[in-house]
Amino acid sequence: MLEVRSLNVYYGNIQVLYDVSFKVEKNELVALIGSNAAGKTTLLDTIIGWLHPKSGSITFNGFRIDHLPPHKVVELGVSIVPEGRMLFPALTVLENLMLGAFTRSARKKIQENLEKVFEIFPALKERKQQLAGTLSGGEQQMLAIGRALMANPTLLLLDEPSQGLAPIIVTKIFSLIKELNNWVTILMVEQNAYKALKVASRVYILENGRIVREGESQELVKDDGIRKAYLGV
Amino acid sequence: MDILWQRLIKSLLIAVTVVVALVILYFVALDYLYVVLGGVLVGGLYALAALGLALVFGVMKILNLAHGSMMVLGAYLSFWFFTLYGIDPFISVVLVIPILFLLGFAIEYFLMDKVATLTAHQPVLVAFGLMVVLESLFMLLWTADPRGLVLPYSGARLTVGGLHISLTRFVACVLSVVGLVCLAIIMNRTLIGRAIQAVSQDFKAACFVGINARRMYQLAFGIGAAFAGFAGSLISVIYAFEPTSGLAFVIKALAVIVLAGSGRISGLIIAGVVLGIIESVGAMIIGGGFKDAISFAVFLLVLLLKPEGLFGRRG
Amino acid sequence: MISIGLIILGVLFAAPTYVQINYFFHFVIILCIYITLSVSWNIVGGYAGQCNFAHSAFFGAGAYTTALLWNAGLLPYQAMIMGAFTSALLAILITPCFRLRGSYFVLGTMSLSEILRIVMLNWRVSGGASGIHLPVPEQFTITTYYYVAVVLTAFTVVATWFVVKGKLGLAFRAIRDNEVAAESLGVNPLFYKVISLVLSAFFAGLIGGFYSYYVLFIEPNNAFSVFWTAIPLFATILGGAGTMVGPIVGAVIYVGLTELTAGLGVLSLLILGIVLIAIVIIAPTGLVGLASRYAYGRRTGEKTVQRGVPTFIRSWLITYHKVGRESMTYFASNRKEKSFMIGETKNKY
Repeated sequence: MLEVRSLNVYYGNIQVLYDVSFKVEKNELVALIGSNAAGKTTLLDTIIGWLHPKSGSITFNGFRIDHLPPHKVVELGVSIVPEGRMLFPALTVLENLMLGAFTRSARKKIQENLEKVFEIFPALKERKQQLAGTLSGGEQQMLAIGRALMANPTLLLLDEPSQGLAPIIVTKIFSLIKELNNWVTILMVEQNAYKALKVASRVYILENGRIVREGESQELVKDDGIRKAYLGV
Repeated sequence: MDILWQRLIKSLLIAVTVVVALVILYFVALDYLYVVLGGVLVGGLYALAALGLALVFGVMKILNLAHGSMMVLGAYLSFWFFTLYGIDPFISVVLVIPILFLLGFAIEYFLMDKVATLTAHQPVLVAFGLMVVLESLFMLLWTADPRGLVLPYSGARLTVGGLHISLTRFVACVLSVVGLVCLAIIMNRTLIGRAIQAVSQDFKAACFVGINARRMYQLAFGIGAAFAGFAGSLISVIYAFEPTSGLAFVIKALAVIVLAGSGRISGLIIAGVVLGIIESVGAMIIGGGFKDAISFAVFLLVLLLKPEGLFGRRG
Repeated sequence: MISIGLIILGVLFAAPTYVQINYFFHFVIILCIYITLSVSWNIVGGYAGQCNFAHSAFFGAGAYTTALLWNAGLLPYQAMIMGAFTSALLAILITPCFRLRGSYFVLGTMSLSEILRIVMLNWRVSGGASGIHLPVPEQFTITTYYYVAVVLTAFTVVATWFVVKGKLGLAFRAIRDNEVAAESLGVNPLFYKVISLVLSAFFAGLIGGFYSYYVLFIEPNNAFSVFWTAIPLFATILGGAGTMVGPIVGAVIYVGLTELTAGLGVLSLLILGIVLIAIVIIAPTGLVGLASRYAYGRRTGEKTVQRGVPTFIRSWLITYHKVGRESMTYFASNRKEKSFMIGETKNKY
C-alpha cells in the first residue's frame, strides 16, 4: 500500500534521513521505533508532504506522492495524527472534527464518519460544543485521532500517540489503536518501544536517520540486543 | 452559555451608557452631539476599513500597507462607474467588490505568496512597493487632483426627533455594519471561513487535515481586498480622496485594530466608533488642520502605552 | 575596495578643473544626497535590522533646523551641525518606538514622521504650509556646493565604515540576526538600536541641512515627504542591505534611472515600485548579494548558486506555476520546504 524507497531528506543542508526504505501492506499495523531525534517525525512529515525528499520515492497505492503538497496527499487517503496533537484550540470539538473532513472526498461521507467517530469516542460527543483547547490531554489525543479519521483515510499515520499522557490513558489509547486497525491501515511512530511492540504486527527500528532493523514484532521482542537497547531489560 | 450571557450584558451596558451619554449631550450641548454623531457614523466605516486589514493580519501575520491604496482604488472605481456610466456608488459596490477580490487574490498568488513566510520585513516591503505602484497608477489614470462624488441626493437629510443626519452618511454606516455582519457569518458559519480560521491558528495542522493553506491565504487576502474596496467606495460618497490618501486610510484602519486589540467584530465596531468620536471631537478642539494627525497619534499612543488594546488579551 | 573608493574620490575632487558643466555638478550633488541618505538608512535598516520609516523625519528636522538657524544669523556650517544634532536628539526622543517589532515598528516610525509633517504644516513658527525661503548666498557657486556635497558624503561613508566594521557594527548585526541570543551574550539590544538610530539620524540631518542650502526653499510636504524614506530604502534593498557597497550602488542606479526616465513623470514612480517588488521577491539580498553569490558559485563550482540571475528568475517562475499542481520540481522544492515551515519565527509585535 505504502512503499518508501531509499529516501534522503534534508533540512537545509543537514541530512536527516539516510536511504530509508520500508513498506506498509494493507490492513497492517506497522510501528517505527526510535529514540529522540532519530528522524521519526521527519519521516512522517515527508510522507504527508510537508517536507519533500531530495531523492528517493514514496508510492501510495501506485501513485508517486513524494512531491505532492499535504492537502493532495490527504485527498488521496493518507491522514496524520501529528506530534503534539496540533488541534485548533480556539475552535470547538465539532468544528475541529468538521475541518478534519475538509477534503472533497471526505465531505461526502461526513455524516457517516462523524457518527463513527462519536461511536468510538463517546467522550467527544458529550463535549462537542467545548473549545478544543479546554480538553484534557487524553481527550485531545482522542480528538486528534477522530479528526484524522474524519478525512476518511485508508492509511493512518500516528505520530507519538502516547506522548505526554498518563500511563492509564496510554494503555487505553493503544487498545484503541489496535481496534482501529480493523478499519484502516496504520503506520505508527513511537518512542515507547514496549507498547509499540505489543500492538504492532511489524516493526522497523530507526536510528540516526537510518533503518537499522526490521521484523515481526514477536521476533524482535525476543532479540537480546533489542531488549537491552529499547526495552530496558 | 455563561460567557455568552456575560458578553450580552456587557454589550448591553455599553449600549445603555452610550445612549444615556447621547441623551445628556442632546440637552446640554447640541453642537457636541452633532460632532459625536458624525464620529459614530464615520466609525462604522472605519470598522469596515479595519476589518479587511485585520483579517489579512490575523491569518497571514502580514500588515498590508497597501490596504489603504486598495480602498482608494475602490473609491476611484466608484467614481469611474458614476461619472462614465452614471451608476450610483451604492449600487456599483456590487461590481467593485468582486473586482477588488480578484485583484487581492492575484496579488497574493503572484507576489505575497513568495515572501509571506520568510522574514517580517519582506512582506511589508512588497506591500510598500505595491502602494507606490497603485499610487502612481492612480496618478496616471485619474491625475493627482482630489476627487469627490456629488450625488443628486448628497444634501439630503434624515430628521429624527429634531436631529438632522446626512442621508449618505447614514446609508454608508448601515451598509458598513451589514458588511461586518456578513463577514462574521462567512468566518464563523461556513466551511471556508472555518478553514481560514484554522490556518491562522495552526498553519501546519491546517495543512495536515487537507486544507490547501496557501489557497486560504489567497482567499483571505482576496476577501481583505474586497472589503477594502467596499469601504473605499462608501468613502468616495462622503470624503474627497486623492491618489496619496491611502496612507492616511491605512493608518486609520490600523488605529482601529490596535484600539480593538482583537480581531473580534464587535470590538472593531466599538473601536471604530471610538476613533471616529475622538477624531471629530479632537478636530473641533485643536483645529481641523490636525485632524489627520489625530489618528496617527491615537495609533502610536495605544501601541506604546496599551498594546493589548481596549478589548484584547495579550497572549 | 578601499582603493577603488579613494580613486573615485580623487576623480571627483579633480573633476571641477576639467569639467565645467552645470548638469554634471547638479547630478553629482543629487547623487551625494541620495548616497548619504542610503548609507545612513542602512545603519539602522541594514545592519541593525530595524526597518526604519522615520528617515524622512530626520532629514526634515535637519533641513528645518538649519534653515531656521541660518535665517537667525548662524554661519552655514554651524547651522548644519546644529541640524544634525537636532536630528540625533529626535532619534533619542523616538526611542519608545523600539518597543514595537517588525511591521509595527515600520508603521510606528512612519506615523511619527507623518505626525511631524502635519504639525509642521500647522505650525506658525516654521512658516506653516508656505514653508521657509532662504536668502540666496552670494558667495556660493555651484562648485562650492559640489565640494561640500562630496566631502559630506565621503565623511558619512567613512564614518559609517568605521562604525560597522568595529565593535558597534558587530553588536548591530548580532541584534539583527538574533535579538534573544545577542541579549543573552550581554548585548543590550535597546541601547544599540538607539545608538544605530542616532548615528543614522545624525547623517540624515546633516544632509538635510545641506539640502535646504541647496534648494533654498523648504516646506513641510517636501522636507518631510515619505520620499526621503522610500528612496534610501529602495536604494539599499536594491543594492543589498547590510553591506557597505550596496546602498551606494543602489543610490547610483536610482539616480541614473530617474535621470534617464525623467521625461516619464509619474511613470518613473511606477517603474520604481515594480523594481522594488521584483527585487524583494527575486533577490532579497540585493545586487551585491547576487553578485557575491555568483562569484562564489564561479569559484567553488557549486551547482545551486552558479547560474546566477537566470536561475533565480526561472526558479521563481517554476515555483509559482507549479504550486497547487501535482508536481513540484526540484529546485522549487527547497523553496517550498522553507515556506511550509512557517510561523514560528515571526514576531507579532
